[in-house]
Amino acid sequence: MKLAIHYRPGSYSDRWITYCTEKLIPYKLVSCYDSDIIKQLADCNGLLWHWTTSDYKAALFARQLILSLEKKKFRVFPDVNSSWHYDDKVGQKYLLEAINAPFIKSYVFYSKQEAINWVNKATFPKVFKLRNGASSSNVKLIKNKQIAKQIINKAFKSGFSRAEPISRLKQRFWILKRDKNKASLKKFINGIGRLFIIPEGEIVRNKEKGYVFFQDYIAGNTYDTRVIVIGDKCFGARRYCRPGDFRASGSGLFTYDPALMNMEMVRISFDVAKRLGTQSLAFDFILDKGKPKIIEISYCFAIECCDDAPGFWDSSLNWHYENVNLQKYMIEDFIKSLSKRTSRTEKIAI
Amino acid sequence: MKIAIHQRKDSFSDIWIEYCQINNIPFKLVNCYDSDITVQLNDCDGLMWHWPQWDSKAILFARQLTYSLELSGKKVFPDSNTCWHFDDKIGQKYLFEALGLDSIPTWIFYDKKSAYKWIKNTEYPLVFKLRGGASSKNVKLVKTSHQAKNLVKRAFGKGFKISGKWNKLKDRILKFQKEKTIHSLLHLGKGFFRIIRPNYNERMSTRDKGYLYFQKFVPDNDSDIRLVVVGNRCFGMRRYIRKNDFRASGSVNKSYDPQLINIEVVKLAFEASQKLKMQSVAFDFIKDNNKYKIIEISYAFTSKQFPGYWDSNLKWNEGVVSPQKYMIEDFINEQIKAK
Repeated sequence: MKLAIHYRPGSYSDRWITYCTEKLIPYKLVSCYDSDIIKQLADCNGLLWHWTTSDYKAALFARQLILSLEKKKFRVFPDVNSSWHYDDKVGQKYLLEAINAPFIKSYVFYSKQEAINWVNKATFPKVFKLRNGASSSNVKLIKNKQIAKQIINKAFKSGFSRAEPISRLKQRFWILKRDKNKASLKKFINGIGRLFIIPEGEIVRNKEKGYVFFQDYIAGNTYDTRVIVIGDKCFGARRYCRPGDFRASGSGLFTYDPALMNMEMVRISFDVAKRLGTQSLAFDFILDKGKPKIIEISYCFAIECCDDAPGFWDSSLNWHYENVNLQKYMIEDFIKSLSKRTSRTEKIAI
Repeated sequence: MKIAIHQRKDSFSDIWIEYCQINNIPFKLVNCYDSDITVQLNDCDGLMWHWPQWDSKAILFARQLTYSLELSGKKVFPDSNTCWHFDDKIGQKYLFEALGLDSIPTWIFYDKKSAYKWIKNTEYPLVFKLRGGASSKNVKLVKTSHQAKNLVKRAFGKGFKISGKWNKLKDRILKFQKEKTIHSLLHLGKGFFRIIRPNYNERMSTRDKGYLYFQKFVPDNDSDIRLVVVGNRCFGMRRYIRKNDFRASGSVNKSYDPQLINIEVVKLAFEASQKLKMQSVAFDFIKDNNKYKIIEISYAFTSKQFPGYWDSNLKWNEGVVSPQKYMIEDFINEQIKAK
């Protein structure tokens, strides 16, 4: 057995490579961007590639590559089930509605007139989102019909840029004030630089237009809950909103105290992940009249996420104390799935 | 049993609705663009929706809706196997290579540096394509490395407008020259109007950038072969290239004469379709070194009638037939009833 790993410093590949080196698992480094990637994978049994929303190149073809490889029964992390809806709130709306998951009421319109008709009857505030964006980027609270109509006009005319340099800078300033360290200062300075020098990824990306997406606003949530399911393990964190803001994602204010976890969220997460057949899935939950509702899902998250968590729940909802390393669980499960396939193929051959 | 059909005039839905009416198949009309479409489908076993590549609205979510419905246990036409690579030549490149299908060699680059390096040491001419676009839209012959360099600059700079309005106008002129009817004249007038006032889909279309796609140029093909496989039937036509051009797709010069199609290609189409597991697939084949190879595939196409078809035993069945009728027949008999 041999793994292919797409190497990108600072991504999950760092920990996957460490794991393979320590456990003496044969692997080779590949570049998924190469035109001959399919050939490069000919002597491997599976591919691990941590691609993210910020990588515009990957967004152009990662899903297509994964779909193609799976058609020849070649295993990939993340697989199609885990990744097709990644960074796509419109896709998640259809998916979570279709499987009847407890999902926050969401609305999507592909014509200006229909969106305006809806606004005239809707109650406010509502939350406006672009289909993509992590850490609360491209998310706004819409307080009245007038602002909603302005948003709709823009959506069906010039569209929205995914990049929000000003709010990104504000977010980095807030992190600098919170952390007061070198890394956050560096990021803040980089944010100032990006106001003037636009990165290639932002030049290449097209504007988001031709649709408008709203979600119900649920008042009274001072935090959201992030739950991650990887195989038979579930991890959880409570994330508090930024002061004076309604958004918790990306605030960096969190606690891993298992006693604070709403166990209904753990149960729902295991159930949804199983029904979707995902390898790794993070859920953002809030409470609506005491009932957990999913806001969005994602196959990946910050690399250090849950490093300080004291343990995990298994699918029978029992708690286990353990040092947590999510990337280790991902690669362990992935290798297990490969060996299952190998032994099945051997049996058929016999 | 009940199926849902998204109705769009002049699309496949005309034939599907007629089929349901004639055969007493319970159906309801739905609007996939509605925000509550998943609720509308609650009392249906499957959905049929012919969404075309030029529909900027459908492109935003048709695949996502399909994957979601499939996960909830509903049947969809086109299903995910059939549609994920529709109007996406990049996706098709990976798919053909992964499945080992005999296709025209293709190269893709996602950064300037590797694109520059490759164009320096390659042979010309090459065919440049954008990932999307039907009827030879967004396809150019690149004769020199200088031309290729300009394409690299543009691909990683301002990008390419995925607009077909000039190409469309050219085709409308050709059509008018061939058939001087009131219809083709009106069609031509519309083409001129669209240059000044692009339609909604043109206005909403974005620029293609951040990648560069080349395909090997295969000379000496005066035509290509378009074969459509729906289940165990294969429909065919030969399409001749435009005058002073190398492109056949979208050309008005075509023939449905089965004698013009080599039976070996029909066999290839059946074999490839089995590997692709598509409910409906149109292949474009050309000859490269005496071997027929796939250029691209698509689940949808414009022809609605053929003079007959080959079955999977490669036997010709004479009689005017419509592939769209077989789409719904297979969908109901093999997917909905088998559920």
